[in-house]
Amino acid sequence: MKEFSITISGQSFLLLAQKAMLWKEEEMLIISDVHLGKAGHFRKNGIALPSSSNDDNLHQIDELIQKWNPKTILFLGDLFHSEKNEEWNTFKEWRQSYKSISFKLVMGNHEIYPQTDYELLGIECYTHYHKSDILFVHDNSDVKTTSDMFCISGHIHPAIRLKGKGRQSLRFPCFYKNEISMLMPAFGNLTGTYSIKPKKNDTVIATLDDQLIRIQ
Amino acid sequence: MNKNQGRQLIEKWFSNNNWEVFPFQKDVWNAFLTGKNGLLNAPTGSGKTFALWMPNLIRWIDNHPNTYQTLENNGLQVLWITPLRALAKDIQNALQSSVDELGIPWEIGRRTGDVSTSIKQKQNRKMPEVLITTPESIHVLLAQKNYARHFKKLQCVVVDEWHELLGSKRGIQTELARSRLKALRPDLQTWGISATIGNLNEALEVLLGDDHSDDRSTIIRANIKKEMKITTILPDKVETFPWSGHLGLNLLHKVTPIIDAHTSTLVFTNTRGQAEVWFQNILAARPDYAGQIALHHGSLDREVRNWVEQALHEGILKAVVCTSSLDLGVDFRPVDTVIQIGSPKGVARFLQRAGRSGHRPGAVSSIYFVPTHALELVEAAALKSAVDESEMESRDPILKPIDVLVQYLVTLAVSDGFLPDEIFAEVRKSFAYQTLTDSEWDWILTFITTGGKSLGKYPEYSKVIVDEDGLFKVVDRKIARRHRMSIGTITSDSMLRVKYLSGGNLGSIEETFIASLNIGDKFWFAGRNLELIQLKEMTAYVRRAKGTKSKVPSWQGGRMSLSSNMSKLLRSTMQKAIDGNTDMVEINAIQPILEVQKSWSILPGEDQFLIEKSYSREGCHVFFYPFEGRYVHEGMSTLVAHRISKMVPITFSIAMNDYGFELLSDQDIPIEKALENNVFSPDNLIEDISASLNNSEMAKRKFWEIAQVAGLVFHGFPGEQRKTKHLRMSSGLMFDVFTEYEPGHLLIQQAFDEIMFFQLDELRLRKVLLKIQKQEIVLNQTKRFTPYAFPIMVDRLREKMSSEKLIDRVKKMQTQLEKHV
Repeated sequence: MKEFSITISGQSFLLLAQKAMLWKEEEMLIISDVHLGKAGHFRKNGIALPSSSNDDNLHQIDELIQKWNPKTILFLGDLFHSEKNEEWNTFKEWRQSYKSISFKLVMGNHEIYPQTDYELLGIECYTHYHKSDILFVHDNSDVKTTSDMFCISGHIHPAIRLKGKGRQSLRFPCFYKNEISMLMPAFGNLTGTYSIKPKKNDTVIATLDDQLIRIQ
Repeated sequence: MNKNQGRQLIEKWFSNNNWEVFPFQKDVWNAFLTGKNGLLNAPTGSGKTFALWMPNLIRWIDNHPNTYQTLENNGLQVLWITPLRALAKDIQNALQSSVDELGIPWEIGRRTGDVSTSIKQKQNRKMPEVLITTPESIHVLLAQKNYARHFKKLQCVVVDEWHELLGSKRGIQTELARSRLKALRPDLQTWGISATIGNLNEALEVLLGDDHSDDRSTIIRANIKKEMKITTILPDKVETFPWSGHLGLNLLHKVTPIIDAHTSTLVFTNTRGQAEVWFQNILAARPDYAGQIALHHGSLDREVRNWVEQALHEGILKAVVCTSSLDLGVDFRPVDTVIQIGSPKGVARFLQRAGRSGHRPGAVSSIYFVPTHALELVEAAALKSAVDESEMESRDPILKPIDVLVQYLVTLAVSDGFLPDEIFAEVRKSFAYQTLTDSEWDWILTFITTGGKSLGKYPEYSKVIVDEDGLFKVVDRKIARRHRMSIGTITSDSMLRVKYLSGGNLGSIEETFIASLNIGDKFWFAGRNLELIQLKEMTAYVRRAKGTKSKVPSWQGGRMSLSSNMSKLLRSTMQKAIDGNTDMVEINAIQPILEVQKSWSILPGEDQFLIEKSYSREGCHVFFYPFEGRYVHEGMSTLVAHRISKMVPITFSIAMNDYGFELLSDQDIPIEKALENNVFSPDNLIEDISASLNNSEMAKRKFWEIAQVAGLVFHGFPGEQRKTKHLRMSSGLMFDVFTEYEPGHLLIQQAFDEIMFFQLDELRLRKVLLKIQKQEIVLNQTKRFTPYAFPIMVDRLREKMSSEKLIDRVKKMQTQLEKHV
C-alpha cells in the first residue's frame, strides 16, 4: 500500500510511503529529520560529496506538496545538519517559492542555526508544538512521561529489522506507534537508522522504496 | 694509479673482514660497472646489500682515485628505496660502517616517516651522499619546492625488496618517482633486489619501464639454496580434532615444548587477533615465560615494536608471537626456529617465514606447521612437497591505477608545478601507465583542476590551477598542506589510539571494534587485559583489568586467499591421498576424516568437481568445492548465485573458505536445472559478474580506498582529527552518489577493475571455469554436513544476493515469523 490511515486523539492521519505524514483535518504535512546540508557538512569534513542528494530531498518535498496541497508543513526537527553552507541558499530560494504555505519547525538537536535565521525566512519555530491534544517534539526523551498528550516525534530514525530463514535479514525505516506516542522515520536520504525493538501491541509500519507495509 | 684501484680496495676490505666475495656479488659488480640496469634475485641474509652497494663505491673510487678519501659534501649520489622503515636503519648501519672503515667521508642518511623534522630540515639544506627511504617519503620530497636541486648529482636508484612493492600501489609510486628522477637525470642507473617470485622477468620490466631492453638490462640470480626442515605438528587423535576453526589452540600443549627446545622462536599467526589470543594462552600455560616472550603486530605502538625487534636482535627473547609484521625486516640472528599457526596460504610466504630462522649463510632453516583444523593437514603435506618442487607464486603488477596518478600529479603541482605534455610523456614511459590514453589523461587533468562533473561546483575540489604559462600548480596553501599530509597509498579503517589513563601509548585499534564495546568492558590488546575507561578525541583510554571474560579485537583485512600455486599443490596432494599413493604422515593422520567424507559423499579427485546439496532448519544448502582459494570462490559464488537468481526469484546467503563455497536459501535451490543450463559457462563472464557487483559492498569498500588515495577523503591534520562516527557511512554514500551522477567516473571504473583483476582474479576464475567444463560434475544429496561442508557452513561472514522483490521477501519473512510464534 502507498498510504496507511490511523486515528490519533480523534484526528485522522495518513502515513505516507515517502516517510512523511499528512494530518487531514489540518491539511498539514509532517516531515522529520531531513538533515539538509549534510553533503556540505561531509565536504567540510574532508569527504567529497556533491550536493545532489540535498536537491533530491527538496524535490521529494515538492512532489508531496503537489500531490497533497497542504496548508502547512511541519518539520519535526533536524531540518539542517550543522554548519551554514551553500545548501542554505538553495533552501532559502526553495522556501520562497512556496509563499502561500505556512512553515513550522520544531527545533532539533542538530539545529545549530539560530531560530532567527529561520524566522527571517518566514518559518515559525517552536521547542514543541501542540494542537488538538497532540504534542509534536523533536526528541521525545525531552518530554515528561506524565504528559497526557499523545506525542509525535522524530530524532531517533527508527528502523525495523526482519529476520527470515536462510540467515536472511532486512532493515527498513519505519513508523513506530504505541498507546501514547509515535516515532516518525527520518525523511532525509543521507541519514542512518536505529533498530527498534517493538513490544507486542505496538504498531510498526515499514517503508520500502515506494510502499508501506504493516509489520505488526 | 691502476685502473682497477676501486675493485682492489673493496676486495681487500672484504678479505680484511674475513669475508669472501660471492660469485653473484662479482656478477652484479661487473654488470653494474658496465652501466647496466638490472635485478638481483637473492634472499635476505645472503649479502645482497653489498652486492649492490660496493659497485657504487668502486665507481666513486675509480672516478676520484686521489681524492675519494677527502671529498666531502658530494651531494646525493645513491637513493636506496626500501618498503619497510625497520629495514632502513639496518641498511644505514651497514653502509655507514663500510664507508667509515674505507675512509670515505660519505654520510649515509635515512628519511622515513619516523625521522625527526630537524634531521629532515638538515637534509633539505645538505643532502647526504646516500639516502635510504620509502616510496611515500620520496613523494613527500617531490612535493617540496625546488625539489630538483636534491637530485642534481644522483647516479643510482636501488629498490630493495622489490617483490614486496611490486603488485602494490607503493610499487606504482616507485615507478612514478623513478620516471621523474630519470627525466631529471637521464643517465640514472636503476637496480632492484627481489626474492624469488614466479615472474622475475616481468618484475624487471616493471621496474625499468621503457628503459628495459635485452642488452642494457639484466637479471642476476644468486642461486642460494637454503636447507629447510619442515615438521607438521600432528594431533594425537584426529577423531577429536575439530573440522573447522582458525585459532589452533588445541595444539598449544605441543607448541610450548618446541619453544623450550630452542633458543629463540618466532610464532607466526595469520591475523592480529589470533596473535593476541596465542600470546595470552602461551602465557597462561607457561607463566614462567613472563618477560621472556613478546607480541608483535601492526597495530602496536611503534616504540613497542622497536623494543621487541631490538630484543630479538640481541637474543634476549625466548619467543615472539607475530603476524606478517615480521615477515620482512631486521635480521634476527638468534632466531633458530619458526612456528606457523594455520595455513600460510602460499608457498612463497611459508618459505619466507621459514627463512627467518637460521638466518646465516649455510645455516638450516627450521619451521613447524600447526594446523588449526583437520583439512589443513592436507595443506601441510602439500607444503612439504612444494619445497622440493619450488614453484613460486607470481606478483602481478597493477596497471594504470588512476588514484595514484591523481595523487602524483597533485604532488607535482604542490611543489613546482608541471607541464602536462612533459609529464604525460614521462608517465607513459613507466610500465604501469604505458597504455594511458589521451582521453584518460584529459579526464585526470579535468578532475584535478575542477573536481570533475560531480564536484565541479565546489571550490575545495578545484585543487590545481593552470597559470598563464600553462603550468599546472596548487596555489592555495591549505590545499597544499592537506595534500602533503595525505601522501601515501596505504589506507585503513579509521583507527583509534589506545592509551593508558596514566599516559603511555599501546597502539591503535579499529574504530569498529571499539564501537562494539561499552565503557567498562574488557578486552585484550597488546598482550594485556584492559578495561575501557573513556573515549575522547579518537583515543580510547584504558587501564589494566583482571578477569577472564575479555574480548579479543578482530581486525579486518586478515583474510588472505590460497595462491593458485598452493591450490594446485593441494589438489594433487588430495589425489595422491585418494590413490593411496603416499605415505606422508599428515595424510595418514587425516585418513579417518577423509574416510568420513568418502562414505557420506565422495572424495573428489583432480578430474571431478563435487557439489553437495542438503537441507536443514535454515533452508536449502548447496556446497561447491573448486579448491581455488577464497578470492576465486568469491567471484565464482557471485557468478553462480547471479545466474541461478536469473532463473527464479530467490535470495541467497553466501559463505566461502579456501576450499569451497556455499549458497544458502530459504527455498529450494534449483541446482539441477542450473547445471543443465551450464551454470559454470565461461561465456558472458564479465557481464554477469559486473551485473552482480553493481551496488555490492565489495565495490563500495574498494572505492573508499581509491577515494582516499585520490584525495577525495581527508583524514584531518594531526591533533585535530575529526569525529568520524557520523561520517562512517559515507563510503557507501560516495559510491552511490558518484555512480548515479557521473557514470563513467574513472575512479569508480577503477574500483570495478581492481575487484575484477585482484579480488576476484578474473583471469584465474576464467581458467577455473574452463577446467570445470572438462571435469566430471558430481552432485550428491547428503544427509549431514560433510567434513568439507562443515567449516564453510559455520562461517558467519556472509555476502547476500537477491532477485526477489523486497515486498515479497518481507511477506515471506512475516509468515515465517508467524509459524515461529
